[in-house]
Amino acid sequence: MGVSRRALYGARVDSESPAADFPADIIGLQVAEHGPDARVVTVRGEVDTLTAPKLASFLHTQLSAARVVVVDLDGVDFLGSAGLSALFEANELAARERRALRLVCHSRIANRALEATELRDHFTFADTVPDALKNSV
Amino acid sequence: MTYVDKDYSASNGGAGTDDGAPQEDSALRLELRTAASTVVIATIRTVAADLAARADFDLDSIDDLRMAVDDLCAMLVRIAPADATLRCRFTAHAEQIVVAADVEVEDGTEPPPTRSFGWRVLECLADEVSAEALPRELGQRGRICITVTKNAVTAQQP
Repeated sequence: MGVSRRALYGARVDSESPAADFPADIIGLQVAEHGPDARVVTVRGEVDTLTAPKLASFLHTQLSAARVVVVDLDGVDFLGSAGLSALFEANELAARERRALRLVCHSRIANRALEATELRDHFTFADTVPDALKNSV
Repeated sequence: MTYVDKDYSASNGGAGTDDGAPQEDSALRLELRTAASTVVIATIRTVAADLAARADFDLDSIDDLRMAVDDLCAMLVRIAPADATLRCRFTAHAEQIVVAADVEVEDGTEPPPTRSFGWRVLECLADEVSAEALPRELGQRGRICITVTKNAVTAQQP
């Protein structure tokens, strides 16, 4: 059993097709600029151990370029502890660097994750992206 | 993956798993064995959520279990050697699901620190959480096991 499993995974991971082929990318990250100082990051899909590092570095990049970063989580289907940690650290970075990180979140599971873990109070929320951008400069 | 037992009803009296443990007739048991790889965690947490939905958990409890299983698998994969096997055993009772997951580890590996971000998240999501190091058996590596209990109804937070 051990041998066949390893063979299966070995084939997947070590063949010339990159490991990233399976599973297909389950996170979508987009950024839109709103003037020189504000950016809106739209997150879709699943934010877990596999994908949270991408979100973390993406947010880090945006926070180093803009004073206000809005993160739209409406399209998030899963938010695990790795994803929560990425958001939390981005929020800490924003506070240290005197930037603003604002969340827009109508995703049921993402809201549940923030509530159950009692992390919601650490973040600033806006109801819509335009609301989040209102006091941007 | 090993599908151990899908017997919900008590009518099949003697049906049980092969581990010799005393069996409770109304419980559904399911065991997954996979490579200890982050790639499989999405599938394992989906199985957990599916079990919870079938056990008539409320929506918050289903999501909490999905996130808890994701978290505990991620913790175990992180401490596992590259060729290790991750084993997840689910026991679904009428009002409660117990998930016991373990990985083989090298000698001297400690259970995940209870002060970590992931562990604190796990404690928020589950009703009971524990970790233990299982002693090495002859010719085998030791294992670290995390056990999580989740009730079907989530207590309202103040």
